[in-house]
Amino acid sequence: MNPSEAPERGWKAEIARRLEQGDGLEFTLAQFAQAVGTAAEDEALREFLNQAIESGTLKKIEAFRCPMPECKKVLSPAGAPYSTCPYCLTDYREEGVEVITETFYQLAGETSRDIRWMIVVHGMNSRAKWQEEFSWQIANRLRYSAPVLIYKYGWATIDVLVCWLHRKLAKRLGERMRIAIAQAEASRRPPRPDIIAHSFGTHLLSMVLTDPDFEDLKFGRVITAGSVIRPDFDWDSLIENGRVEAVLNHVGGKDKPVQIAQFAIPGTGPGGRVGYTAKKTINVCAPTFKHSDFFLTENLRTQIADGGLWHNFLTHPLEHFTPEGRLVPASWKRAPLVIRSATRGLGYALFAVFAPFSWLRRRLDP
Amino acid sequence: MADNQLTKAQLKQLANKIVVAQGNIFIKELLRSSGAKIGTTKDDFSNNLAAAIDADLLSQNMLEAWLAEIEGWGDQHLYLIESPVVDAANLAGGIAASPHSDALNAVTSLEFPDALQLKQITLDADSLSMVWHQNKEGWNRWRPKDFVEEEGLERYRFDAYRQRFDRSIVRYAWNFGDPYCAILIHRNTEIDHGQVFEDVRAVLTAIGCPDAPFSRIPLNQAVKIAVTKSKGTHSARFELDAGYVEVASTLADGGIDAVEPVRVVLHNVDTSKFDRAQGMLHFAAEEDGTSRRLAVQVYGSEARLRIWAQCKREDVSQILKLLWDYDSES
Repeated sequence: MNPSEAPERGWKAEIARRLEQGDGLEFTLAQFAQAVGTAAEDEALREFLNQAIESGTLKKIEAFRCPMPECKKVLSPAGAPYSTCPYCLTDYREEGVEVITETFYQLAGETSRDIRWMIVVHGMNSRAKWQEEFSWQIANRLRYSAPVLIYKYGWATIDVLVCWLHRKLAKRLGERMRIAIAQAEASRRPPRPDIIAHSFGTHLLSMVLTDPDFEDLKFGRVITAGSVIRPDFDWDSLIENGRVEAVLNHVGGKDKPVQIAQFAIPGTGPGGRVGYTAKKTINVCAPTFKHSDFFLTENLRTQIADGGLWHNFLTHPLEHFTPEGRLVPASWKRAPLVIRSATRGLGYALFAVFAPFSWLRRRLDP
Repeated sequence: MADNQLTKAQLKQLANKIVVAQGNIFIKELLRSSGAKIGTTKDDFSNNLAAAIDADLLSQNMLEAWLAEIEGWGDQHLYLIESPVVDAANLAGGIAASPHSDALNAVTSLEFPDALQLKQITLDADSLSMVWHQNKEGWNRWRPKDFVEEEGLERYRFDAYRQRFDRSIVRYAWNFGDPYCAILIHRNTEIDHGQVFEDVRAVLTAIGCPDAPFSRIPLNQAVKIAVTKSKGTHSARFELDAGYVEVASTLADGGIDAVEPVRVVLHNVDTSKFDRAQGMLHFAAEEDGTSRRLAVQVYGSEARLRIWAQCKREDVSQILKLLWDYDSES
């Protein structure tokens, strides 16, 4: 490697880091030089930035600075020409001074985003203690208030075997979401919650998204883990229509339950193993994860820590979001109808037998 | 205007009109700012303006920018007040019967007298606009004329200031369809805003409006909403009698939204708990429909804007519309 290329690699890495994190997109030459440990007088750095302007990566902003020693504030071109400082109110003409012209550079990228509030939806056959843990972790992790709506629909067991109960649960979820969105707006929070859903909760979410009664509901970034949504679910239309901002599908490489979901739960599929085929979704595989490993305390902490997959997805600009372990799903076809019919038939039979017990259990222990 | 390029001969004709109508002090400012020779008489000014045009020191854009400044939009203070309780249909009669009837639809004046003087009233089916002119003095620090003098054992320093004259415009604008009016006052710090309010009120009374003090429309809510909805908020200060919170971006272009640590501070501020709010808002052409990016300081409790950039009449209307919409949100 040419010795002169070494610093340039560092400069490029710094630009890439800022674009990826959506932070520090605007800077002066001196500020950037300090960040990369180079002197501001370095002609090579200046040339590097000029080339970045020519390539469209950077935009040059001719701004100003108040010349008064006790002020020195940056003055935006939006207020130029300045005869008075908006901050220290010095009349430059009376003082016989002129504003200092200063060049700023602005990276052509999106700024980071914040987690403002979330809805978390659990899976079947679970009390989902992870929801409480998640809420606690996120509250501790963030230094600002970001409410987490822990949505519980009870300990669903054989309920998942029949469609009409899915619809009932999805309606309840949609109605609860609508109430939560209205409350969030009243509190001046953004109307779009971010969503984390697991297992059967992902299926309920997909039903809400396709239910015309809930067309008014819009969501921010959606994370599905251990998803039982069909791999060919039309996320692209939902993203294009603005219903959902983006989707991260966290796939478990050793997730077995999602593979058999389509045989037992009507309308589902192995999205949590195959990935989503929709082009606008982001599938990431954790090769060692089983169905609920995403929510083990240590894994949960890792996901939402700085640099964690979920944290990066929820806060970084998508344009430069390139997580490790990205999965490109192969095409997917549903299992043959004959097999599905047989297994479903068995499922309905099981439901018929155990429904009274399930109903009784829910009465005693919802 | 750029589409309508004047020839140099036409530019000279326009310059001559300016020489005839405009006070010498302002033409001096025009010539000085273009770097041309100035002169002392009207003939000098006319010849020097022509020479500056020939030498490309004075362009059509420069002349138009200079005239636009006279028009008095932008780089000024703006107060938002409630509309007078009067039937707009009766205003024409009121103006005709008033001592200001000669100002109705008068041509744009290039005169700037020492005292605030009503120069023009424009009334149509949709709006009432009144324009006052005043010549206001200012002083520019002028170091070449500094000197030091010794008298006996003492040494004296004399700092020189060169007299400057600002063409100050005051405007009252009322679009009948809007639930507010605006009083726009030139930036000159020597202008007594209270006196301007009295003068405007006197004229309004004379043309048939009720004689009542102006009722300002606070813009605290507009600032509170802008910080949550607009990406262009550069600074915001929320006050109550016992304390205040202030957040700001020090970037040239990006607002608070572009600075994550500052942005998240704002998430934790319950602005509804604060009585007063002010902020530096930037209105962007793409997002807000203004002709260019414009910086506006909003002093919510004073119902006052300080528009920092020169702009167009439409920009001011658009900014007021946006702020009014923000202010109307609960």
